[in-house]
Amino acid sequence: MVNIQTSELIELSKIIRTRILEICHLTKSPHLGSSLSIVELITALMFDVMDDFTIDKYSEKSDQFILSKGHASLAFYAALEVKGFLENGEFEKYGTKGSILEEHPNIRIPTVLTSTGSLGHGLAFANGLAVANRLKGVDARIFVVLSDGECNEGTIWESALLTSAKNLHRVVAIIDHNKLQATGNISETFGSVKISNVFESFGWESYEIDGHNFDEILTILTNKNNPRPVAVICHTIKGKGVSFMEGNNNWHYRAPDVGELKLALAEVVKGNFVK
Amino acid sequence: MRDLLAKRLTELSQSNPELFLIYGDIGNRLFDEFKTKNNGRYMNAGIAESSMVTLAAGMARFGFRPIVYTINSFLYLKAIEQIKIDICYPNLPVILIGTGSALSYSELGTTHHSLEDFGILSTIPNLQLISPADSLEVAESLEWAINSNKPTYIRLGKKENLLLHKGELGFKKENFGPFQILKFENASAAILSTGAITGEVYQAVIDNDLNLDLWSIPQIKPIGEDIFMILKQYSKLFIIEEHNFIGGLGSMLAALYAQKQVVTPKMFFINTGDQFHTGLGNIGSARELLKLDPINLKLILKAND
Repeated sequence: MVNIQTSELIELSKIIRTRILEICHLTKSPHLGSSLSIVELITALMFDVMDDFTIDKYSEKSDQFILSKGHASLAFYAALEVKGFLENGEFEKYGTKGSILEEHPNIRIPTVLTSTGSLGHGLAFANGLAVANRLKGVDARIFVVLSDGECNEGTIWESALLTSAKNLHRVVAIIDHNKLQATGNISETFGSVKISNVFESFGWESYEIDGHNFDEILTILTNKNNPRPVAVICHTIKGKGVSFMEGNNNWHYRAPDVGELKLALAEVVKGNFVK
Repeated sequence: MRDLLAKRLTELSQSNPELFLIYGDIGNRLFDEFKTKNNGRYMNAGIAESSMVTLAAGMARFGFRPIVYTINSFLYLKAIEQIKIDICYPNLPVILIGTGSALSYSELGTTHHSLEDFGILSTIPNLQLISPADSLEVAESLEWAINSNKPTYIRLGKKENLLLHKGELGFKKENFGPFQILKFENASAAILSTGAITGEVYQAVIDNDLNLDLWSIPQIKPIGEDIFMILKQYSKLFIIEEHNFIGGLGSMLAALYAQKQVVTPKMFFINTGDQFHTGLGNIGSARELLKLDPINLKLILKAND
C-alpha cells in the first residue's frame, strides 16, 4: 500500500479515463461502458491498495490482480500504461495485428497470470493462487474483478463456495455492479436477488460500496485483516464519467466518433463526476 | 488400475514435493496412504469439475503440480473450456486423470460413458493424451507425465484389469513410447489396441490362438514419428478401441497415413461406433460391443484374411 492522497487518485483516474476514450475511438473497439465503470476500482487497486504490485508477474509475494471481466481490458491496459508497464506506443496498437494487447487480456501481457475473456474463470483461478500461497506461507492478497453479469456463470458460485469452504481469506472479489449486461438490465437474469446477500450466505464477508468513491473503496480494501474472503459489491454506472454514455447500454459496443470524443474528454478533464 | 495409480502417486509424491492431489469427491479410501504421507497436500474440491480444473491451473501457475482426479466423462466434458483456456493455452503442468473411462462404467448407464474423449481432447493443442492398458502402463505413464512438465490427460479403466506387461516397460524420458508390444510373432497383421479393453483383446487373441501381433497404444497424442517404421512390416492393421470411430485412434492413424503419404496397410476399425449405448448391463458389455467374444473375433479376422 502506498497511501497516496485521494486527490492524486482522482487525477490518475482522469488520465486513465482519457486514455480509454482515446484508444476506444482510435481502434473502434467495443466494451467502452464496461471499462469506464471500473476506472476508480482499478486506479485504487493498482496505485494504492495492492502491495508490491510490479511488472514481474511471477513475484509470488506480491498482491495479484485478475481481471475476470476481461472485456474491460481498455481500463486495465490504460492503468498498466500509466504504471509504466507497457512499452511506449503499445496501447495505440490495441487490438491490431501483431500487438500483444488483444481485446481480452492474455498471458503475454505484463502482470497477467491467466487469460480472461470467457467469463467465470477468474475466481476459480484466484482460489488456485490462494491455495498455492497458503502452502508456501505467502500472505499476499488476490484481487479479482468480476462483472455483475458474469455472476450468471455457474463457475462463479462453484468457486465462491470453495473459497469459503477452504477459507481462502486472502481472496478479494470485487464485483462491478453497474446493473447492465450486454443486452439488458441485470434484473432480467437476477430478478430481485441481491448479489451481496448471495456472497454473504456463501460465507463471505460482503460489503456494498459506491464504486466511484475512493474513500469508500479504500476504507474497505485497505483492511487486510479479514478472517474470511471478502466480496465487495461496487455500485457503479456503466459509461461513468461521460454524461451521454452513463447508463446508456449502446456504449457497450459503440465507440465515440471525433465529435463525441471531444465532448467526452472535456467532461473527463473537468472531472465534476467524482464525488 | 486405480490401486497402482494411488501407490505410484504416493511414491512419486515423496520426491516431488510440488505434487498436489485434487479430487472431485471420489476415490474414497483410495488415497489414504497418500493422505497419511502428505499432510495438507490434497483437497476434496467437491462435485465441481469446472472450477476444480481452473483451481489446478492457478496452483500450477505458482509452481505446484496438481493432479486432478475424478470421473472421466464429467471431467473432460464439464470442464472442457477450463482445460483449453486455463491449462493448455498457458501449457501448465496439470495432470487430469479420469477414472471409469470409456465403457468401464457401462452398468452405470449412458451418462457415465466416455466414448468421445480422444476426439474432443486431441483437438486441443499442448495436451498429451494417455490411454493405459494395464496397471503398469498407468504407473509408468504417470511418472512420465510428471517428468514431461506438460498438460496431460490420463484415461483410466476399471480396477480389475489384467496385468499385461511383465517387468519394466523401458519408456524413454522424452517419449512415453507410443507402442508397447504385448505379443510378437512376426506376423503380417497386427492388432493395435488402446486402453482398458486391451486386456480383453489379449485374452481373446490367446484363447483363439490367432496368428497376430498385438500392440498396446498407450500414448494417443502426441503419437510418435516412429510409428511408420514400426508398423511398416504389417499389411493389415486391426485397430480396436472403446471410442467413437470419429476422432478415435483409428481415424487419427488413418489421417496420419494419408498425410505422410507412405504405403498404407489395410486398416480395419473396431470401435463403439457413432451412437449412444444403453442397457449394457455389467462390465462384460465392452467386450460384447466390440465383438471380442471368441467366435465373433475369429469371424472378423478370418473374413479379412
